[in-house]
Amino acid sequence: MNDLEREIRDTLRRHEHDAPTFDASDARRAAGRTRRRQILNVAGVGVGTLVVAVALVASLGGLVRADRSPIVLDTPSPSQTSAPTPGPIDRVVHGWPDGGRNPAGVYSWGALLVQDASHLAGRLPREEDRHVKNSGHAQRIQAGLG
Amino acid sequence: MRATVTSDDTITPRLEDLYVRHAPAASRLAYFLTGDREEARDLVQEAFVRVAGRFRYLRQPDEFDAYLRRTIVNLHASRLRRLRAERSSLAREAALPAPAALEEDHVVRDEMWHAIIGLPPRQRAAIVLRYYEDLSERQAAEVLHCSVGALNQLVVRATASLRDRIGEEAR
Repeated sequence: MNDLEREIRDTLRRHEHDAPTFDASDARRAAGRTRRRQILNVAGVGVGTLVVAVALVASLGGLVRADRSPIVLDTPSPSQTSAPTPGPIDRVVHGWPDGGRNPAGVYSWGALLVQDASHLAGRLPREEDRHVKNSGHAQRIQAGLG
Repeated sequence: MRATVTSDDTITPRLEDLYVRHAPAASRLAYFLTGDREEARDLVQEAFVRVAGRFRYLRQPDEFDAYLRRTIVNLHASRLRRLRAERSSLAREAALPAPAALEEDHVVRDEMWHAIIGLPPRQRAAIVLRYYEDLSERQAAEVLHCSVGALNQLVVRATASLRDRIGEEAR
């Protein structure tokens, strides 16, 4: 330690008695302020925790509901149950009950619809061949409905 | 009712004891940083309320001193930043001697004291922490939130500045 450092230390030691002193009232005041701060902090932490918990529960509930909703897709849609499909399909499915309209849930439309559209485009064999191919299926459906 | 009173009675003395135990040393540090008794008193109260109010010291009660010291330095720095934002603190510090220093003649005559009070805040804090609080380089650097190298730079600049000022006044 050199002289300057020693002088700095001595100066600070000499002036430490100029620092403010504290009495009991200061301590009581500081303790009161501290307790108020502690109460506010605890209340703040409690409210924050509550908000986070509520948000967590709400988001988890939303996730559970979102997981359940795809099950609804297995039931027929309103368009399948009520609206008749017009057009060439009536001509393709022979002997269909109720004016050739397709009851919901009995028949899969996909294959015939595509074939019929392709026939209209002139890409598939003639209607007689197709009729032979589909007649067995149509008969089975007819028997089922009858 | 009795339980409430009992718990209140047990909490109050603890905080007050804590304050009585740590306030004197904290007030000396605050006084050396600010150069003003009233400001030092406010600084110590605010720092105590912050440290004890956050329960930070409960994890390591032995570290209360260190927490309090760091909070005092941080609060002082933030107060200075506020003052600097008003563009008045530096001029005020340079122009006005500390009110406490005006109270007694021996204080006014103390050149070294004036030179220390006239140092920039961080240099002054580094000097006080190293030469008055007798903290190690690492501890002082932690309080000032800087590296040991930066702390040494602050100390070197501060001592050089003090040497220059004392030399000028001696001439």
